[in-house]
Amino acid sequence: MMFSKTRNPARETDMAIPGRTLLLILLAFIASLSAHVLYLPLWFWGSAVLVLAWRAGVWLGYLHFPRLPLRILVLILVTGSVVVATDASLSLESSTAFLLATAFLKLLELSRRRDAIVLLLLTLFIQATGFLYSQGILITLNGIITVWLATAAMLSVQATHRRGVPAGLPVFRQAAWLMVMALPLMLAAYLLFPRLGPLWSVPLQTQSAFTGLSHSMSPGDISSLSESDDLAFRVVFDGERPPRSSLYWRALILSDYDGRAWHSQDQKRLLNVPAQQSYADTELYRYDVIAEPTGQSFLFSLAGVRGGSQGTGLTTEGLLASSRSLMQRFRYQAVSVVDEDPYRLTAEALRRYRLLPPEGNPRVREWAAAVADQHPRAEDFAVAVMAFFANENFVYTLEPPVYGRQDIDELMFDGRRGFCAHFAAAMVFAARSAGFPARIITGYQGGEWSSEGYLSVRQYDAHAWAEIWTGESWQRFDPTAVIAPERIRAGLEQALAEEGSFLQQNLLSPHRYRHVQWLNNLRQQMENLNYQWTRWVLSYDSQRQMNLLRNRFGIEDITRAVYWLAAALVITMVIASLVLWWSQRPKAKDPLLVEWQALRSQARRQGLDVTDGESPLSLLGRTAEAFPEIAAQADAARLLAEQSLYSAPAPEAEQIRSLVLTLKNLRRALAKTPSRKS
Amino acid sequence: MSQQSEPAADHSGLRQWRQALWRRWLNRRIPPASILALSHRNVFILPSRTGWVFAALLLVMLLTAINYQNSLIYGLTFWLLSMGLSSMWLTFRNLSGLTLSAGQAHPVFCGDTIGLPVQLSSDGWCAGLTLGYSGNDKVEASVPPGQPQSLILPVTTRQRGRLKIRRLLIQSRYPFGLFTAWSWVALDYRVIIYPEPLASAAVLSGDDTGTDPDLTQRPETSAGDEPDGLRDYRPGDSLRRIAWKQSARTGDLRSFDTVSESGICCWFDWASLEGMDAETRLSHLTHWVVAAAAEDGHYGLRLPALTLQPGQGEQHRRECLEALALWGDV
Repeated sequence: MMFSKTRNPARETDMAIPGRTLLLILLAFIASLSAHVLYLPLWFWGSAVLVLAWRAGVWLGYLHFPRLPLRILVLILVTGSVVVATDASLSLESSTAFLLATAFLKLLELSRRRDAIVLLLLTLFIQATGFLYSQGILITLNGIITVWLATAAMLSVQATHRRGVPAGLPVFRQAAWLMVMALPLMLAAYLLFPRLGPLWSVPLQTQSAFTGLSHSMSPGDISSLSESDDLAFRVVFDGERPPRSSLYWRALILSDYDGRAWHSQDQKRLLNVPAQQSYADTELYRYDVIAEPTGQSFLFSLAGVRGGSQGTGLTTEGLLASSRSLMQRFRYQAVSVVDEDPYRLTAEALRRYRLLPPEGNPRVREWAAAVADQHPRAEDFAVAVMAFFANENFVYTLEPPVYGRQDIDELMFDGRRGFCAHFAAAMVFAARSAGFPARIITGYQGGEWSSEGYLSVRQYDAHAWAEIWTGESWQRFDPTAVIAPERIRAGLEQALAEEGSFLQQNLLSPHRYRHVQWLNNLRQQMENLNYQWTRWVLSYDSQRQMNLLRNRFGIEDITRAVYWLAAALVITMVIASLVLWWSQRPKAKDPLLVEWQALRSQARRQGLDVTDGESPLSLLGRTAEAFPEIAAQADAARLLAEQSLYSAPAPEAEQIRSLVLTLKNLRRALAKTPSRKS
Repeated sequence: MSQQSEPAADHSGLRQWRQALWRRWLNRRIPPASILALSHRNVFILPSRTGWVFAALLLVMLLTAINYQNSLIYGLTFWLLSMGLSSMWLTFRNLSGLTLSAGQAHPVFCGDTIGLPVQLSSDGWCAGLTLGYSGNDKVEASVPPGQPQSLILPVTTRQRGRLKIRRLLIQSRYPFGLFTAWSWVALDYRVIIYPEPLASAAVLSGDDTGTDPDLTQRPETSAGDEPDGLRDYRPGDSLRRIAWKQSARTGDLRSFDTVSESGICCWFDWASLEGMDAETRLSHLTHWVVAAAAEDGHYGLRLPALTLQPGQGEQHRRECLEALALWGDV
């Protein structure tokens, strides 16, 4: 039909992109990449810079756009590289790498308006996927800047015509104005749109993308974690804060030893225990944790955990775990009963916790057997081993010597230098060789209290310790606590103060410079901001949505929220229409013009031939000629009009008013004269 | 065969009927005028193809947000959605509030492209406008607030006479290209299209005096002395008729008076072009008028029921051409 004519003719979208617009598009595109910088390999960025340079060369006129065969070749090369580099697996990294590669190749044919639109839409999507990797407040600001640049670029693209972008078009101001104008509706949708659970399973980040604990541990693993200042999780206690020496955050139980590394058992079954039940008669800690993504399902809890909020459960070994892997930041509440572990062990489990490889470390085995002879009770045995650690000049260090095949023997009797994982492993090995059930617990110890009352636990707080079965319950024994009491009392930095190896490899970490007062303050401010951001914005899920809607807005169920969202949309539209109507309402007309039009039509009715182009003076003159009865009046009006029209300073309001009045009188007089119709 | 062709005929009939209906509706809704302020009455808006692609992108982003439970992607999606919706309003406002006024167009010969001047003015930015008549080149413009823009819209003419009012498509996709707002504006241009000149070998009919129309003859002037046939300049004389040399000498403008000098005068007569249809006759007559005027000849025009006495000059040429253009029109 006729509508088809409004569909764009090809040439409109074929317009070449002017330089300024191109610059805006490239800036928006580059801004959208920053969240991805850390997650893609160096060769990718190398080729990206090449592509950018090529496009810049085209712009400056040194190079041409690559021809189609070359473009296809490059596409095959890039796709191949992405597939090879990601082992052809469908993960978040491989998908985004492919997305980014496509976008970069689009640069090589970015010449027409249509390409620009495609690239800008891709830019927005790249920014969105960037949020899958990091969601800090800086990345959010970066996202806002991307949207701003992309909006301005889009304005520039759309306003472009053959003569270029119209001069003086305030693209940045208009873009900012558009974004601000869209905020109310955006907030309404953000708060009211139902937060559903995942609809289907999606490609996730690969494990290697996360720093953190893993399900197996060889002695060097924890010390490599200590090089990282990445956040592991944050906690707020509801009520009493435990003392620092009790902040043992349990994450994993490593029970199986293969002679080199320690492994955890598969924990498939979760017992769901609601955390909200009352424990009125016992002393307990309630805490609210926001865990950073680990790619794993373990959670962090204090000993004696009784249950957690929705989506969590207890493993058979009595640890808190999530029902899903933590691919995103996860917030949960938990309750721990102080110093109580209700878990009983079956005979089968007890046998497992005593297993050791048949060979290796003969000196420790011999020594442990001797100690056990003197101390037949498990508890006494453990205390004796701890005394050995305390008295024999063990050194807590991030730089232990490399131990050989009989590593625990060498640690205990020759080197005596090690890190928490070495000591915990030695302790458990000794206990098991004496026949006592024992296990390694990995997790975090300590953390940094912020001025706002939450505890930040970082990767360098990672810790390993031992638990020994006393016959009734598991009891914690931490050799590090006796070898380097500062580690437990004050943290890793103090424990390594003499050695100076705290975050040695991590030159840029702000934590390394905690002794610089202002830098430390700045860091803490930033962390507080990020914490509030995480707590109030990022962890807004269906549960918190319902709480907010119920408590603040009195909206009882989510269907209602959807109605309200629709209402918000309608209200916005109505307001927009009203604004439009108001801005385009008929303006009050100039009274002089109105009177002049009236006089003209009156003259026409009286038989005077009035043409459109006639000047006021001429018409008044002719009126005087044609109607002698009112000639004097018309002449007077003509004089007054002449004065108003040609007076050197613009006529004053008073003068205009008297002219209007004179014209009105003339019109009335004219109406009374007989018509001159021939 | 007949069974196949019948529905086709039906179809085209239906289409014609629909188009006629559409045109009638449009004429009621946007009547022709020489000044038109666009408003909600006469601006239409629909999502463009980019708009649908953008909607698909938002859907993908929303699914990403849901599946990864990512608050920031939710936020970004809703922000973009909200900006997209407000862009509908802005795209609409781009046209609504714009005033188009028809300027004065100059006559052309049928088959030539006429430039129709239009002035656009607005109180706010109206960027990314595209205007044009269907089948002709589009013109792009942006109108800053309070700075009216004048454009010339090309139209290829196909019919002599008064220029028929046609619908001009004005559209805008600014700011984001997600929506297309458009209007069909009928601007009323009072301009006449002359018949297409058609050269012919046909002999011009001599008039009563039997003078052969030698159109190439020009008054001869010899350098130095004042030739015969000069008279005082009269307003309306063509610049080519001014005797510059003589005028410069005396300081008064003098013109050649061809008539008095050579007495050449010819009649262009409808009746002399026998055996041709009316349009062809008009075309030949047009050609003669144009040729005679170019040579500054002295000519008259005879049409059925209309005779223009011999004369010369711009004004005479225009009268003759208008008479030819409007012949049979009244």
